[in-house]
Amino acid sequence: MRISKRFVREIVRSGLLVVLSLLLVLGFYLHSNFYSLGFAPLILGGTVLTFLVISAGRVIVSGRMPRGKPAGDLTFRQEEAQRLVATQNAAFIAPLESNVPCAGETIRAEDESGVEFARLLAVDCQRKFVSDVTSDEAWRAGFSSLGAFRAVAREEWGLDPDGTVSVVEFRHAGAGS
Amino acid sequence: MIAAGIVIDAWLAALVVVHSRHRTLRLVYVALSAAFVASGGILVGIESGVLSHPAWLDALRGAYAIAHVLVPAFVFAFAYGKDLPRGRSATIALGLLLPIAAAVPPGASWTARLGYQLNPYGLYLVACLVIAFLTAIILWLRSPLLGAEGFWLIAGTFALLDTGPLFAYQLGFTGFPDPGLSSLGSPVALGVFAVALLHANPLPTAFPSRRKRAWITSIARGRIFVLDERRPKYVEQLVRREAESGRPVLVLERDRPASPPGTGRVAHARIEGAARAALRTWMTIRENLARKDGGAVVVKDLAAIAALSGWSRTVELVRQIEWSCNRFRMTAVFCASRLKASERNDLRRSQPDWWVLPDPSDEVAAILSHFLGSAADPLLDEFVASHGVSRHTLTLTHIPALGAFLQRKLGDMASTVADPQGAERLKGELTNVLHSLELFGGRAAAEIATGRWPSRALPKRSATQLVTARDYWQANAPEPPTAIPAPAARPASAPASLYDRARSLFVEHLGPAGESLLKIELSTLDGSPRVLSRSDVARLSDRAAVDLGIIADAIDLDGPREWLRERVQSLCRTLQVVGGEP
Repeated sequence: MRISKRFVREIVRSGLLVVLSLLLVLGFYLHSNFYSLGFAPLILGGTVLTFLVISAGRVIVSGRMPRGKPAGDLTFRQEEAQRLVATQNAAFIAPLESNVPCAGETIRAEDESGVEFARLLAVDCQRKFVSDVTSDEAWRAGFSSLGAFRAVAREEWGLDPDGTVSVVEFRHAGAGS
Repeated sequence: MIAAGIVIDAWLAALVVVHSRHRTLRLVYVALSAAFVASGGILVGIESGVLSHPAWLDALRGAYAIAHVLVPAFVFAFAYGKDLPRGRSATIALGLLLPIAAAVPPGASWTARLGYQLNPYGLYLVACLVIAFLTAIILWLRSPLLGAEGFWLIAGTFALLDTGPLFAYQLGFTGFPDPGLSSLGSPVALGVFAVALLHANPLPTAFPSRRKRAWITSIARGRIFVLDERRPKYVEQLVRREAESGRPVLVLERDRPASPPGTGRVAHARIEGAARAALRTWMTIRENLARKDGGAVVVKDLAAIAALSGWSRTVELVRQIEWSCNRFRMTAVFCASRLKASERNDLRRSQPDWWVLPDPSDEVAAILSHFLGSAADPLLDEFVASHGVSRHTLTLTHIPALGAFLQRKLGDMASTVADPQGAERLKGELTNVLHSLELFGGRAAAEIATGRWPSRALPKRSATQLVTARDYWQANAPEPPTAIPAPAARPASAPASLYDRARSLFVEHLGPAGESLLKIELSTLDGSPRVLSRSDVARLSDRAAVDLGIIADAIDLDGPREWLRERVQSLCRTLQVVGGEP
């Protein structure tokens, strides 16, 4: 009988939580002298340590590292969403005046119905002239070719070769909620 | 534990020395580490009985105090820089209080383990840490640029406060035995300080020449300039001129320069594609130019910083640079290329000198178009293609090469024009083009920014000055193109010699100038003007097809150009027939 991936994942997570609990109990036992520090340091130090333990537990349960609050959301068409999920180093190109994330910010990637399908971390952001966008960037942004990108820039965005676009490179920061 | 703390402190100091590019901050950090290491070492020595002399207790108090005064010194230096008055004044004030606090004899209950007591010395130590802690909180709350690193400074100063005064107070309050030392917090504090320091590491940069010399700048000192151009081209000229004057110039850009200048005091720093681009840019400027009085900083890619770090951090970066400009009589130059409209508006609020500049490629095209008419565009396209650039990337540095190119092209063309007057006028126009290009290329950005652009100053065409092929052919054509009958094959018996027949054909097809053109063509064939063989006529046909074709291409009106092409083709066909006769 084939065990589903989800079940294996739950087993692993539960095992990690057990190990964490064990370490916690060992910590209580081995560092009993710590409690003679005094009330204020105990409260401060103990709070920090307990917070770290709870955070570790949260990471284990959720299965992803906390990235902070998403800076915003971007809506993608169905085919773009599929491409984003499949591509490791996806890019996004938009006209300059669009709102795009800065480097280090996480965004919610949503499909046209508003359902979040991925969290994306912006690893690099550039502003480029249309004529300076490379074919690799155009391809990673979902355009079939550099010519196709330039055609969209010209016809849909009204940009000539000296027009400016934002080029954002993403990395996956976990699955959508 | 104390020994382990000493080892960690020393290791962190070594790490910072190796990796940090901050000169001042690195120095303060190493001094702070050394003070903690020294105090820990003396304490271990006293506790173990190795250092039993009472003077070591005083040395310990001194080392403790120095370590504590260096904590706010580090935070101030991080937040404001060593040269800025706020941080420097506060550090000096605390430093001056140090000997006073140390001179007051501690109470009899003072021990090395409990330094934070209710006496001037203890209060001084606490004050140092509290000031550093509050400064870090202010930085965290108020500075978009340094706020993220303010968190680490808060963590470090809090660790020292927690393991120091708070711990001592708790021990005194509860009467617990003394289980540890205040210096236990130093590895934690130094660790997070090192994190902040390395996050804000200046970008790698080096001035090729460290030799100081007098210089005269072409742009005002203590001011901010914004170069509003589509692509950053005039900024290159400005950097080059400032560098040639010997002024230290720091250029910050996202992409590496294609050919970094090898002379002068110009340093290039590459803005890395990370969220801390604004912070590291500011630290780079502060580190390099605060000590070079009157230097210039050129931020070519302000848009790149805005894209990476966000506009709020970029605005603060601009404000910090503006303040530094006033303080150190620096000059800052920002390129507004690729900024959003809202960002430009924000930038205007700091009331910089705003220079709107044209794209040199447009201006060059306007100059060529003025003198050469419709032949300008093909010539310019040929030039950019031959130099592997595009019109978008044509800069002021290409103007000398363009001049040489035009000299060659138009010179060749003028030599093929038979009419001496026309040739002279063409050469004259060539001289005018070269002069205008040279004049334009030599104009500084400040002059161009006044609005006297060639594309605005020159009319599109100037019929009175222009020597175009149209004028030439209209003036010299025997009759209008439409009125000229199609050339007819001459009877074989008409001319007595091949030369006469060729001359007749040239005049018939090209008008009075035909005879002169025939002579030029013959001179290039090295043949006698009067004696021609049939093979010479065939070669003459080939030569005329090439040379006269070039002249036809230079005509700026479709009708006459097509007419001349047709004439040339007809002439060549006829010459081929004559050359092929038995």
